[in-house]
Amino acid sequence: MSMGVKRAAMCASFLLMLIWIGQQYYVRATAPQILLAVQGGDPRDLLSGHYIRYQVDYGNRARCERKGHRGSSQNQCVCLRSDPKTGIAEADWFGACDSKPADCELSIRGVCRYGGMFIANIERYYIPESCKGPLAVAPANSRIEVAVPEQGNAMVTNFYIEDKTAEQYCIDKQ
Amino acid sequence: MSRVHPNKIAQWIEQNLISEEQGEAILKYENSAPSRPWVMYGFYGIGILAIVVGIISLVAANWMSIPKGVKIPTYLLLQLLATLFAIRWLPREGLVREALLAFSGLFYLAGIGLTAQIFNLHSEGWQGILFWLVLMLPCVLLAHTAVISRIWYIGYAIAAFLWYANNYTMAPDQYVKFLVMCALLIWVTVVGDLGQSLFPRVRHFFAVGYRTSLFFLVTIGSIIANVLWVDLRHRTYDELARIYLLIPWLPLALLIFFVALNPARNTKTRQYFVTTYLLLGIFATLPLFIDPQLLPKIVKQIVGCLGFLAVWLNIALAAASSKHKRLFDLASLCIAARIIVVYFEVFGSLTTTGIGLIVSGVFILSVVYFWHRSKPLLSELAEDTA
Repeated sequence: MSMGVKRAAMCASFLLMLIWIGQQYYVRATAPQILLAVQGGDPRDLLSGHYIRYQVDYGNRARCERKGHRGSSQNQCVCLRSDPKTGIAEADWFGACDSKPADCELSIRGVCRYGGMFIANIERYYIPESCKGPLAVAPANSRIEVAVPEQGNAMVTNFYIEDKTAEQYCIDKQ
Repeated sequence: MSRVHPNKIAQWIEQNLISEEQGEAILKYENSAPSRPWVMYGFYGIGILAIVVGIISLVAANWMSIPKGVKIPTYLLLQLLATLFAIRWLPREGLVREALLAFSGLFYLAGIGLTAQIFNLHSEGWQGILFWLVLMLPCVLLAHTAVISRIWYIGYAIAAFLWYANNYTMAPDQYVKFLVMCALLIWVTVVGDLGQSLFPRVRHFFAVGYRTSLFFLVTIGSIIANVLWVDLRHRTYDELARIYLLIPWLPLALLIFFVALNPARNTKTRQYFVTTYLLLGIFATLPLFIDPQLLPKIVKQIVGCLGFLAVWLNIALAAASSKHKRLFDLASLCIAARIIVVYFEVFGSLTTTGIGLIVSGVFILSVVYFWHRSKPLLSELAEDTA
């Protein structure tokens, strides 16, 4: 293997990382943003940092079919529509992504887990260490702001409590 | 300084293992050969450790004060510097080169974690680890030491386990799940064995994979297969299950073929290893041909136990033939443990009484003692049968 190929291989890894990070910035900057209601809180303190874990409330339509111990279904989608009064989005349709209706403009992709849970990898929000106390349990009226790209791989961009961001809420409580 | 103590040389001469002339020649060579600069290596190590700990402490102490918009650009700058330094040191040999490659590869994991934290990304874990393994691969292939390869394979094993743990409901039944897990290990063993001869420049990378996956395949694989032989409550016959048959059998056939052709190992050892793979393959997939549900429990227990013992006895013979002491001891331990389990399966109720416990203890000690005594016999057997 020539030295040129070796150098190119090392640079390729760095470029790949750069592209991946760039993609996250792009999604956050360009994808449509929606608000979703969340329930429950489970503060964690792992090596990865402090975060709040919660369940997203998609409304009554987003219910996975219970299939017992063989119930994991991949590639499920939930179509969302925002309520003009509250601004909070709820499920308008739920099912396999392949059979998504044509008028579904905003959809989040995920999987159905054991016990009928729909998981879209947006069930976690990182908070500063100082927020660990005030946010030991996610307060009522908590909402998340989510960037929803066309492919449906949603990303949480903000966590709101009573119209304040989680960070601002912590500062006020301290 | 000599790496062999003169007293040791004297002992070897006394035992007629080497002649006096050879002893003198060894001492002369050892005293003249430049010893490794361990002190310098030690200082290098302490230096690198101090810098890394210092950076971590500095960042950790001020983590919340660093704006989100600064964290990722700073990481990218550090990663770029690490990559450029590693590239610059590529033509040279030595510890600095290896340390830079290892640091550059490992640092990608920190970058993935940081990005996940800032953008609130989370997954089942295996996706992040696999992405890291892809990014780290050039560093692993270019490194000349095996340490970084071992880290890579441990990462692969963790990712495979996490994938399996998160997607276990996808498989139609318990047995097929086990086959998929074993197939992953068999494939790595095949790639590791082939890679060593096909890509001699990165031989160490494939050698580490071959040894690691083979170890897990034989130890964990044969044990789980043995347990499943007895406990197959959720087993169902599915068309899909028959398709899965190809997954372990195809790599297994390839493995036997290439191991048999590989001229690097001696004939006896090769024969034993080929037979081990074959036995393991038969043992793991037999329940797909003969439905264990139809067999009485005692038959399943006997077949399971004999299959397990056949695999491990063959490994013990291979180890004895190739004078591989540690592998032989491992095989001994597994066989002894299985025989003890047989005792508990048959006379398990005895252990609730004091006398039963004493009998059990004596039985265990006897098994260990007889196994220990039979080692030389087994070695002779291995020599004779080969």
